[in-house]
Amino acid sequence: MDNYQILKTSILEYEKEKALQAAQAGIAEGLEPMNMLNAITEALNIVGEGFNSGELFLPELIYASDCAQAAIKVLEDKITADGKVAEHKGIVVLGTVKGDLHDIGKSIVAALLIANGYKVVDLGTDVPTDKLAAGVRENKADVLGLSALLTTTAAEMGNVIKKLESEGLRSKVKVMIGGGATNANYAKHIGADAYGETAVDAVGIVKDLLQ
Amino acid sequence: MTAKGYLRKANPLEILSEADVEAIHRGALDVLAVTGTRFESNRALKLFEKHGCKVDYDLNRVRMPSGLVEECLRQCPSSFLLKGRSPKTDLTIGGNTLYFCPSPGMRTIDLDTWEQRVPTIEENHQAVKILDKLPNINLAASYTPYCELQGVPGVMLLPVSAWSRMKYFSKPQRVGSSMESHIWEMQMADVVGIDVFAAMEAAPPLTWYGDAIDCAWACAERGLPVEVGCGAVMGGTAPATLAGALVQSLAEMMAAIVMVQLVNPGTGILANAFVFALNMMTGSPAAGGIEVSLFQAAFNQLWRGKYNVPTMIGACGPSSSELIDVQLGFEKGISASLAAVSGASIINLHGGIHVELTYHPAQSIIDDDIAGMLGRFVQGIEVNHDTLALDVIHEVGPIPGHYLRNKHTLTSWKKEHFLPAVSDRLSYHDWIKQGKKTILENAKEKMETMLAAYEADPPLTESQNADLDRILEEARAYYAKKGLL
Repeated sequence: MDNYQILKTSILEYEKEKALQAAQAGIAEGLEPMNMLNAITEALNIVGEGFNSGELFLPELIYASDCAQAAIKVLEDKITADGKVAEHKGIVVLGTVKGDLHDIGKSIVAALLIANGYKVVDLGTDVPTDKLAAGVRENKADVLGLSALLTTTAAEMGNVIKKLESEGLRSKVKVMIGGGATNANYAKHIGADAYGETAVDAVGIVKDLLQ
Repeated sequence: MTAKGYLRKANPLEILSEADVEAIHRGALDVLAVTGTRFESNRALKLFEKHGCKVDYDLNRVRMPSGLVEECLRQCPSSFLLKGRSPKTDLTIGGNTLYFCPSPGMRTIDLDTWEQRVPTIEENHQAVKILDKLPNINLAASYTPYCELQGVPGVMLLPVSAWSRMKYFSKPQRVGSSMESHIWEMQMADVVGIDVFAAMEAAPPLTWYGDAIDCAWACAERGLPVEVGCGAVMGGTAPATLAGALVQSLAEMMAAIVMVQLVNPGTGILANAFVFALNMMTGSPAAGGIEVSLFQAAFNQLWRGKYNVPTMIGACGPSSSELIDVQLGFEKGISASLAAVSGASIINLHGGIHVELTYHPAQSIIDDDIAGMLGRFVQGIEVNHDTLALDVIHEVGPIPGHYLRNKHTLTSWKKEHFLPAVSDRLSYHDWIKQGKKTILENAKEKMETMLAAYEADPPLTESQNADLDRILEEARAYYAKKGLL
């Protein structure tokens, strides 16, 4: 099996170290990193289809996307070093807002977006407004996804949007929100572009927002 | 290799005290010695007489010395093997393994009007195919799943039912014990290469009819196990008290066991409980009642605990509900749960709806989820270095740590968590999007998919199929000659 195949198989077998090594070995032997990214896409398509059809579940989806992320980083670093730009369907920055530590829902959204071919930059939980705005700017994000499970922290989402406006970023990025404390009315109220009720909705929303 | 079943880890629930067990045991011995039991079989009476029982040939009555009864109980093995059509369907009945069996019904039921209807032979084939592929079905009873079939005269129902199962069911089966049907069923089993076991079911109170005796005798002579069953209705054909019903049922079954062990010592015995309370409003059996579960839990304790004989708990499948509804679900769920935790070897659960009158394959698919849940429960909690997960707990730490992203979750969750096949597990949002489907609609869809994908494993050869057809024709000719057709 060549490193392209090893990379694909190791994601399907949830072997993170092996995926990472295959990406590195592929670069070392001169494989085109852009092409190696296709191996990851192929594997994630299989995982995504398995999840949608009910054959695979959240642990498989999330772990496969983690394996993919590790390999993608190595390949993209090489692409950047070669002075090229990696192609994506779009770039999505995600974060759970300040004061809120809930990670699971956002992690599911991240895994689903990765499995559907988007570049995801996950800033984690309890992310301050400044850091979210910086994340959008530095990554040239197409979409910012904000998560909040608590009513007390959902208010922070409005502050993030104001921050984007004050920094002149709002027109360049679409904002979607989700999480237990949010709903469609709230999204409208704070001036977000979209609201997703479930993690699975996020994929369709991002697709629509980028059209 | 044998079918896995579910290995019980926890000690079974015991609801009788040691003194209770002893009192019921001695009560049964007392009934056998004093009043005795009625055996409608001259050869059985002669056999009993030869071994020291008092026999009254005018009344067909046999009174048994307690020593003989206890000696025959000791001859029953604690487990026995049953061969399926391939090693993966072989069974070792007994010990701590839990298996599941379908619960038959006379007729099918219309899933829209809930009215009963006599099924066609093709519908019987379909219901059998579903059972063959359900992961938690390990064996079948006789007249399963239906006991009436369109265009089939009464005397041919058991042979046709067996013929359908032999064609489309790859797992061990029980033979029927009516009108000598066992003769044809045993021949068919030889053709497809599976083990069958006898049905020897009492006619309470305290009576054994010739058909049941002949079936058990024939199987015991061939070294095949015998299921010995009690089927009284408390308040009708047995005392209304649970203790009294246990005494009488034990006496009936012990008498049968004496006969089987005298015919062939060491024959495997499966103790079957099929006892209901009498529905004092209508005079029919009150299926699904909690007293049935009390009887079954005590029955498990007595047979498994005192006599070390595997049990088949038969009255979990039927409910008093007329349709697939909440009542059916809780009556089946409660009785099957209590049977499982009190130590049943086999639970007859799948497909039965109203008493023993209706059956539907969609219900058998739903019941497979119940069986899977109970199987997972009796397997208990695995406690070892890996499952204690201390390393993982240290690694993840407090919030915002979580376990969904951890490889430990990926590698362990499927072993630890039971995943139902048709029970609704969707989010509200997805449930709306997918058309607000009920568990019954999921089961109906699954039934269609399973039938479309059905392939016999292993497939029957042409000559096996032809032999099955020939034996069925021979049965028809036999009954026609007897003037029964």
